Amino acid sequence: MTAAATQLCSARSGLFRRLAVTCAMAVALVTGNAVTAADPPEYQVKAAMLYNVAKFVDWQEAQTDAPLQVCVFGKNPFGAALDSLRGKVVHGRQLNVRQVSRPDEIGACQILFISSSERRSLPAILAKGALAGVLTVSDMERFATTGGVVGFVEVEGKIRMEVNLEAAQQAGLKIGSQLLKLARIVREAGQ
Amino acid sequence: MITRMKRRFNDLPIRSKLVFLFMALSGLVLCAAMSIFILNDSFKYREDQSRDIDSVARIIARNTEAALAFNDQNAASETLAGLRYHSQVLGAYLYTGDGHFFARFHQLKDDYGKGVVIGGNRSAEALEHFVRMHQDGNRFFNLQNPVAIQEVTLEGQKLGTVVVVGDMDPLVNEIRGHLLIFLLLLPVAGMFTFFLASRLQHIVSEPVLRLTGIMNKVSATKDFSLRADRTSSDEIGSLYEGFNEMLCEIEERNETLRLRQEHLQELAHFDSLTGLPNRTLFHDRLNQALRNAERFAQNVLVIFIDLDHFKDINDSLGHRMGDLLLVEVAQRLKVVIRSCDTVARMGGDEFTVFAQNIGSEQNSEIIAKHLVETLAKPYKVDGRELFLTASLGLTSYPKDAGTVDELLRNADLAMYCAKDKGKNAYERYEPSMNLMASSRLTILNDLHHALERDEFWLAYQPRVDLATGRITGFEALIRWQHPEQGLVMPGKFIQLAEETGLIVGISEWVISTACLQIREWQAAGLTPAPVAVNLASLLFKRQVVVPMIVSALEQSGIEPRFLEVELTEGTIIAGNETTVAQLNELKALGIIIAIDDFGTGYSSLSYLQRLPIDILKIDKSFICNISSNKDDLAIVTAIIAMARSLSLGVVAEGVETHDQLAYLRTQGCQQIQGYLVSRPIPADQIAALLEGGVLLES
Repeated sequence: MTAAATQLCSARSGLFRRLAVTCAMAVALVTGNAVTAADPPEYQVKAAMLYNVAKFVDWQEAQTDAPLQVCVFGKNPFGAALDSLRGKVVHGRQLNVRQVSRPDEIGACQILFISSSERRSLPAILAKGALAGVLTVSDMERFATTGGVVGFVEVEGKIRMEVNLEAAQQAGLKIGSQLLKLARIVREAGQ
Repeated sequence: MITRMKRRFNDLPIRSKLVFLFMALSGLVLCAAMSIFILNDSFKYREDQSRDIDSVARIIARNTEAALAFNDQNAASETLAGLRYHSQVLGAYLYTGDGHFFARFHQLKDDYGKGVVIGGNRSAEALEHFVRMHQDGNRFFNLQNPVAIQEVTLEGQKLGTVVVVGDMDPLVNEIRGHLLIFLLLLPVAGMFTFFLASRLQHIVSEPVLRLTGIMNKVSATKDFSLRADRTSSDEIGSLYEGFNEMLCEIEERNETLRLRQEHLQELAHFDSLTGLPNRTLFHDRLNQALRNAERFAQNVLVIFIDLDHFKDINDSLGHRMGDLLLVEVAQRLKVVIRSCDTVARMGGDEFTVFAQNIGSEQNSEIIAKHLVETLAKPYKVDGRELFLTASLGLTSYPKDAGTVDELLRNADLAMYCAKDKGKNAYERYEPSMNLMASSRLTILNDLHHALERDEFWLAYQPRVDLATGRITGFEALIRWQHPEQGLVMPGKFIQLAEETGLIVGISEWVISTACLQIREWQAAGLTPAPVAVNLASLLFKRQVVVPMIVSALEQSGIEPRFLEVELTEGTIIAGNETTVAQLNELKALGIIIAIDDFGTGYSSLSYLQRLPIDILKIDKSFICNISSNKDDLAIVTAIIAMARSLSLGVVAEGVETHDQLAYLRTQGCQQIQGYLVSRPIPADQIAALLEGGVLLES
C-alpha cells in the first residue's frame, strides 16, 4: 500500500526528494492535523475526508467492535493515502481498508468508495438491494443526485460534499447534523 | 497629627463624642456592608459569567468539530456568529489544533476591545495570552473579562481550541450604579444617624451631665448637703452613689472640723482645768480694758496671785488633789470679782486678776485684802480639810505702767516681795522692787558659775553639850564670796538654787568639802566632832543623796559617824517611800540624821517613830521668845520631853541670850547652838576651838 502511494507521488512530481516530503505531509493530513499547509494532492485530502465523514455517520447497527470495512470499488485512486486509515478507530471500531471488485462483496462494506472508473456500472451498484448499511461515497460527478449518499465535489478549488439524505435514509444511515451543515443537500434527479 | 486629633477629640464634650462615635461607627458599618455587597456581587457575577461562557465554549466546541475537521472556516465563522445574541459574550476565537487562528467572532459594541484584541488575534501568542487570562481568572477580585477555553476534540483527536471572552461591563456598570446609590445614600444615612445619635446620646450623657451640674453647683455654693438622685443601677448609678457618699463624708468631716476648731478655740483661750481664761485671753482682755481706761481716764488694778507652798501639797497629796484645789481656788476667785473684771490662770498655781475703774487706792487695798482672806479660808477637797494661803502682788494702770506686759511684770515682782515678807499677804508695786528683781536675776546668773569659779566656802557653827560645855558637833553653813556683791548669805540664793536645780551640785560640793575638812582636822591631830550638812528635798526626790555621801566618804576616807545630815520637816512631808528608804540607807551607813527647824511643819509627828532619826533641832523661832512667850516655852518643853521619851537627841537652835540658856537648862535640853556659843566661823578658826575644848561654862 505504501509502495502504491510512493508510486503516486513519483508519478506526480517525478522528483524523488520532493516526493518524500509530500508523502510525509499526506500522512500528517490523514492523521487529522491542520489543513492550512500547502495544497496536498487531491486524494490525500479525499482520504482524510473519507475518514472524517465516517466520524459523523451513524450506521445504526447493534453495538459491535467488528472492524469498520472501508471498501474501494473499482480502480483505487488513493494509492497509498488510504493505507494510513488502516488501524484508525471510529465509533470504537477499527478501520479496515480493502479493495472490492465484485458487486456481491459490497454488502460486507460499511463505507464504499466507488471509483470514478466504475461510472458506468454505478446504476447497477446503486440499484442493488443489498446496499443497506453501506455508506456510498464517490468523487464522480453528480454522484449524490444519481443515488449515492456522499459525493465529493470541487467548489472554487476546495473539495466540498453533497449529501443525498433520501439515499442515506434508504441505506439506513444517519448523517450528523454538523456534517450536513458543511455539505450541500441534494435530491435524486428526476424525482 | 494623630495625637493632636486625639487630644482635640478628648476635649470634646461627652455629647459630641457620643454623636461622633455613633456616626463614625454607622459610616464604618455602611462602608463595610457596601464593600462586602460589591465583592460578593462581583464574585457571584464573575462565577456566573465564567460558568456561562464555559458552557458557551463547550457548545461552540461541539458545533465546530465538523468545521475544524473539514477545515471549513466559513462554517466555523457562521457557528460563532450564532453568539451574536449572547450579550454576555464579548468575543469568541477558534484556533486549530496546532495553535493557528481559524475563525473569530466579535460582539459589536461601542467600547469593544478592552484587552481583547491582541495582534488581531491571529497569532499563536494570542492563544497563549488567552490561556494566561483564563488562569488569571481564578484571582479573588478581578474585573478583567473572564476567558473560557475549551478544546475541540473528535474521536479522541484534538481538532482545535475555542476561546470565549465574557463581558464584565455589565458588572462594572452595576458596581458603578451601586456606588452611586451608596454615595447618594451616605449623606442621608449620615443625617439619619446624626438625628438618632443626637436623641439617643441623652441616655448615656444625661446622667453624667446631671452629675456634673450638681458637682458644679456644690463647688460653687459649697453646699455639701446637696445630693444627686440616683436613677439607674449601672456604673453611672454607682458613680452617683459614690458621689453622694463623698459628699456625706465631706459634710461629716466639715462638722468634725468645725467642732475641733471650736475646741481649739477654747483650748487657745481657756484653761482646760479651771475653765478660766488663759494667759492669751487675759492679755487680750487687759489690753482692751487699758484702752477703755485710757479713753475714760480710769484706772485698772492688776493683781498677780501665787499660792503659797502649793508645790508641797502637790508633792505630798498628789496632783489630783492639787488640781481639785486649783479648781476650788478658781471658783472662789470667780465669786469675788465683778462680772466686768477678769480672772485668769496663767499656769501652775499662778492666777491673775484685773479690775477696771477702781477709783481710789483704798479700794484696791480692800479688794486685795478680801482676796487674801477669801483664799486663806480652809478648803474642803475630797473629804479632806486643807489650808492654803496666797501671796498677791498689786499694780495699777496708769500709775505704775502703761502696757499689759509691764503691768504683769510689776504685779509679779510685787507678788515676790509679798512672798519674801512671809507670804499670805499682798504687796503693792514700788519702783524699787525693780532693783530687787534685777539683783535676783544677777544672782541667778552668777550662781551658775559660782561652783566652777570656786566662790563658795563653808562656815562651821559649833553646838555644845549643856552639861559639859564641850563641843558635840558642827553645822556646816555655806557662804558665797560674790566677786562684786561680797559675802552673800544662803538665804539669798539657796531657794533660787533649789528652784533651778543648782542645789544638787552645790550640795555635792558641801558634803565633799565637809568630809575633806574632817579628814584635815583628824590629820592635824585634833579630836573632831561630827559635822552636819543640810540636805534639800530635791536631793531626796532625785535620789542622789546616798551615792553622793558614799562617794564623799570614800573620797575622804573618814568614818561615817563624823557626818551628820539635816533635813526639814517639809522634806519629810514632801517625800514618799523612797525618802524613807534613802534615810534608812544613810542610817545603815552609820550617818547621824537630824530634823532641822523642828516644830514649824504641819505634819503629824508619827513619822518620828517610822524614821531613823537621831536628833531634833528645835527651830529658833521658838527659842527666840522662850523667855517671854508661854506658848513657845510650852512647845519647847513638849519637844524636849518628847525627844527624851523617844530617846532622841535634842538641840536648841538660835540661842543668843543667857536667859534663853537658863530656860533651856531648866527644861533639860541637851545641846544648844547659837551666837551665845559661837557664830558660824571659817574652818581655820575651828582648830583653836577644838583645842580649847570647853566653850560654855556649866
